[in-house]
Amino acid sequence: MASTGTTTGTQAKALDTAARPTVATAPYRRRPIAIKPFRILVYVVLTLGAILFVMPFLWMVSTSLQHSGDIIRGRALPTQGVLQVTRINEKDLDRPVQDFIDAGQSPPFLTRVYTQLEASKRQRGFSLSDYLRTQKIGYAELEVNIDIPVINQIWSTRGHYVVVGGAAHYLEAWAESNFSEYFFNSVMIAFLTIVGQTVTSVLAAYAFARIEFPGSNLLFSLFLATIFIPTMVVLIPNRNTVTSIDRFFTQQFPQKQDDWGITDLREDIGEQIYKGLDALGLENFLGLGDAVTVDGPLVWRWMDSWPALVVPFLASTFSIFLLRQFFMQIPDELWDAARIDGAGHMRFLFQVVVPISRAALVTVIIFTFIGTWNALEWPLLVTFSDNWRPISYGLYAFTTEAGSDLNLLMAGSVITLVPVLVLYLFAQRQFTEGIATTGLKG
Amino acid sequence: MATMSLSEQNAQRAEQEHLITGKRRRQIREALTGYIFVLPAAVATFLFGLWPVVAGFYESLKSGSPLTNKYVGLGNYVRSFGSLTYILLFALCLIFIYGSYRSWRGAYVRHQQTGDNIWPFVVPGFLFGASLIIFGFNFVTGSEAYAWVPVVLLLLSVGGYYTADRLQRPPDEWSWAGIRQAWLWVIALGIVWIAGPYLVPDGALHTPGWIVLLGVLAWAGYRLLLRLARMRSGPQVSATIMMGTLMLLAILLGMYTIEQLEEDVSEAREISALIFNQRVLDATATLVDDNARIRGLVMNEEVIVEVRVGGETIEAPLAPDAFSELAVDKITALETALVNNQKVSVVLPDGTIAEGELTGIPMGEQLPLALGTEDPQAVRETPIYSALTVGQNVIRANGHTEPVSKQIYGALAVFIGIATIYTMTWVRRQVDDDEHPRIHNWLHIGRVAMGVTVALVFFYLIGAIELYDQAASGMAALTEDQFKRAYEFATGSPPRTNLRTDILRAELLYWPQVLMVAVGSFLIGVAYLVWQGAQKRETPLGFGLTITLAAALMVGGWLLISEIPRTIGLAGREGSDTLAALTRTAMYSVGTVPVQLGLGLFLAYLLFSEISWGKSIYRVIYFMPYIAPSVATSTVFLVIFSPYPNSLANKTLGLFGINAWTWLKEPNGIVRIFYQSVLGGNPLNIPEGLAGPSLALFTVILYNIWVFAGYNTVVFLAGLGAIPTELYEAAEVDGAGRWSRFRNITLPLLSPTTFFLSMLSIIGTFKAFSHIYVLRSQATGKEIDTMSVHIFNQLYSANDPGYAAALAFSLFGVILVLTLVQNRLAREQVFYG
Repeated sequence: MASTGTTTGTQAKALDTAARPTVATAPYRRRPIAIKPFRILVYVVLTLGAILFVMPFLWMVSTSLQHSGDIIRGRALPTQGVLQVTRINEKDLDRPVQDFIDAGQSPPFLTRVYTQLEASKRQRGFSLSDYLRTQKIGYAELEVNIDIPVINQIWSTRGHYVVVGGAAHYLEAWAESNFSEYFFNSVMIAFLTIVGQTVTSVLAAYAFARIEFPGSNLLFSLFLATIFIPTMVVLIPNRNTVTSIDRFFTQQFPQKQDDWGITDLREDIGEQIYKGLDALGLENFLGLGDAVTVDGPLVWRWMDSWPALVVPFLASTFSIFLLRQFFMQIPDELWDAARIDGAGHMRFLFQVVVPISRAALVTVIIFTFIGTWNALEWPLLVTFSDNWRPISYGLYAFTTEAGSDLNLLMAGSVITLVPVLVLYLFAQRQFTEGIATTGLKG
Repeated sequence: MATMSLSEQNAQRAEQEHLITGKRRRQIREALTGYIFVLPAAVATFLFGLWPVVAGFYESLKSGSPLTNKYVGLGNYVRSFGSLTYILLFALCLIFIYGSYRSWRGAYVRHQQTGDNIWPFVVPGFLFGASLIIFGFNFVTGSEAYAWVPVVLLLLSVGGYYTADRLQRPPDEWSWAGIRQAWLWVIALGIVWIAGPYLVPDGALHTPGWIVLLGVLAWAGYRLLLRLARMRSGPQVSATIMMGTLMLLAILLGMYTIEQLEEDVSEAREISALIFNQRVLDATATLVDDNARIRGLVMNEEVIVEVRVGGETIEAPLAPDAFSELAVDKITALETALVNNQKVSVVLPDGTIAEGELTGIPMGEQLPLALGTEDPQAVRETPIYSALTVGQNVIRANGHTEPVSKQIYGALAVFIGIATIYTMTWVRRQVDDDEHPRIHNWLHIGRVAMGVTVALVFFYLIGAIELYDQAASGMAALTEDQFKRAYEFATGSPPRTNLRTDILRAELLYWPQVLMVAVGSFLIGVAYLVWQGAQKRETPLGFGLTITLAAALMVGGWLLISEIPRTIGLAGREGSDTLAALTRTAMYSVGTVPVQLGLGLFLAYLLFSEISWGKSIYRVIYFMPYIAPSVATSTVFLVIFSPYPNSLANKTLGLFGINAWTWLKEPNGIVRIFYQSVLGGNPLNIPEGLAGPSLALFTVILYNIWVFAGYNTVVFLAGLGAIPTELYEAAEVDGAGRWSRFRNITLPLLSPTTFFLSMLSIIGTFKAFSHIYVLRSQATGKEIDTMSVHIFNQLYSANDPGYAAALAFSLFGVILVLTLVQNRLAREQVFYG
């Protein structure tokens, strides 16, 4: 029986995989799929429902690609081309349209609107750029500069492009309606919230699941109680809290700083941090540069800055609850083994628990991301400028000012939607399972 | 035992103690790790999740204006709910008392079972409650005047609990020395905590001094905690703390509400007493009429003007000093207009008769003499108010309205009296008729006497309320102008600008409404009891009579309770806004929840039981709307449901030959619109009450269904997966069809999921914000402003945080009540396993 002992892992795996299919497929083979009229009816109903459910999304994309004329006529599909990119000399854009016609060498995107051009003499005086802007076609200019340090010996590109067609609405919304700024604000806020929230939630969930301490049940039920408190109740006092913290960190109080020894502390610690930030080229990263500047008053803005948007969401009952459920399923034997090996709670948590609960962590992170991405009422209350306004706010503001530019509005909606949808399609299993186990949204 | 020497015993004990201390140290270290792990999340949750509830409540009691953020008591709540606020607060009081009773009852039952004494725990319970409440009050208001009081109370209660706990032990386990020691620690702690800072002059205690002081404090606290940790009567302690706190809260809240009610009504009461004083009623005030119309009236002596109205002659003097520089010549014309065009003639001292018409409130009630001249400073004299107009009513209301607090105590007396009668009847039933005939009789007499007293107090209440009612109706009869004159006449100074008759009238009605609704609720409660009692009646006649009585009580109770919308409406425009927002939220909820639950269940059933291929694809698609950012999806709805004739929604209608609708801009009810555009009738034939939610709100409902149906599907799928398949197989063997399997297995076993989802959906509709706020940008007016959007607007647009906080707390209350009611219903309907 030596052979059994020496059977290698690969052999065992091969045996395993060989055995599995026969076992797994057997039940499926027993019942052949029968085509019944009832089942067809069910499929028809489900498919019609699915079309109805997807319709608004399709409509969003389709409208974003149409020009205003199409929208007013209520077309279902765009009549204009979707995307046409042409490289163009920057100077050409400033030349009057007349030049191109005289020279007889109009760029292809111009010939498409040429018929209208013939009718108007006044417009021939326009520069090419202005002329295309006045036409009801999607039009955007694109600067591309790719210059990668090492690779630029072999390849680099620099150019001015003209984008014509439906896709140009996206470029326009992105660049001119500030969506790029909103987008990156949201990404930043989401990143900070995710990092903070995951750390606090993992620690708290682990403590609730695995550590016995007096009052843990009471504390946990207090955490759960926050779920029943409507947002509107919390909104007003939280704004007050953030305002007072902001006032605390922005007021000028040199004497008091001396009293508290803050100045000394800042000279010792702040200078090092500031040097570090400076070396990294991040001297104003997250507004912290102001706060650690050694000379001058302590200024760390909370209102209309990231702390107001991040700090109130650093703890999430939902995340703690979900992770706790997951951590409680981890068998006690693991903990005992780690204990015998001399690991404390901290090591056990980060070397054993966290790696095996990757799925739960992904769920929590995604939910946090979506919660941050969708937030509207809180940013409305605590931001006053575009510096830190998130994308949901940007889109909301756009609905009130976009007016007749529905295609731009829809392009903005798609930009808002895409990151969430991509995440969802990649991790939809975690999503639905997370929802099914807790029944809550982040 | 005997063989073991003393030293051995000692060694063993030492070893045990060593083990125990080691274990304890490990436990402490474990606990510390736990606290450190929880700390970051706990800080964030408390600061931004729980503390806001306290701070928000405090905020709702303040005016919230950035300049003078002053305390306004219940003002914000009264603004949004009128006198319903007081009713709700009294109800909250009752709930607290009930909760207190429940926790007491639990402890008492335990006491009867185990025989341990709970009475010694009661006093510390109340002390603890008082300490908690005072501490909370100080914390919220930031007052430090009596900061030591809660500490003293807390320490006293801790010592009391310790003593009570020791007293429970058998005598050989405790000694007075232990108790004395614990009290010593308590007193030491108290002295260090309270007197410490006073003992040393300010600044004398430098950092080391403070460290020593705090060290002593920590050590004393630690010793005390060690003693407390050995206490065994946890349940009694928690029950009595609960009881004491709730009871004190109920009493304080009740007193506060009574005081507030008295305060809010007192002004109106005083003013109405002043105005409806006979002296004021008969007085005439001099009015300056800017619309001078009599040409050529000049006078230099006192002129008595006689006015004939119908057959009656009324005299009114014209003040001479107002015309001092003018001389009477003659009246050429009297040009004033009278509503009912009655001619009046004015007889002047020189005998000439001028004819003209008078303006004013219908004849016989009020007589404004609008005599004017070309001179803009013409003078008009008018009696402010005729006592004949409201007749005897006002005269009775004349200063005789009873103080509200007296009436509230009267109402309380009625309440207690009824409870006493009930108790007496109960005791009488327990007492044997034959053994104690005397007690039996006395109880009966006492019962009757109590009944008579209650009836008398009740009639007093009704009379007092009637007076308030009359004063209110008298106030309503006054015009603003008359009110101003009367107020000025009575007090010598003009009224404040915000003092208006409608507000005063509302204030006068606060208490009558509170009492009426309270009586109504009480009647309904009695009706319920009678209804329950009816089942025990044996004769058909008795049964019929009891049922009739119950029905009558029910109807009466409902009639009184139906006062509630008026109590809110009286709060003015803001009150009706709140009511409208709440109604809209309720409609939104009713329109959304059943449909989305039904659709979710239908889809989940089809996906789970009827198909095998493509489940996950369908699930992904159905779930997509829920996961998509709500701002983005509601923006698409803005486009799809835009009022353009070529929008997707209108084109779809066009397929059915229906003209375009304006969707979000449409304030008309959907039933009316359907009736008009599909059936071709006149929409006004549908009464307002049946018009249903407005089309704008209906669009929001559609959105909500689209978003949440998929979510419900997913949760239902999880629920369906949990149902054991053997049940279906067994049913199939028994020949059950598809429908009967669904009806008898799926539905009952799915009921926990259904309950969970319905609760979540209803609460969700009450909290819904983002999508409504986006869709609102295209809606006209406040057509889709549900409660949370209304609240947000008060905060964000109207910048009225105090009012918004009050509204938010009301919403919180509504959600809590809904949750409780649903839980209650679920206990009977939901099948768990």
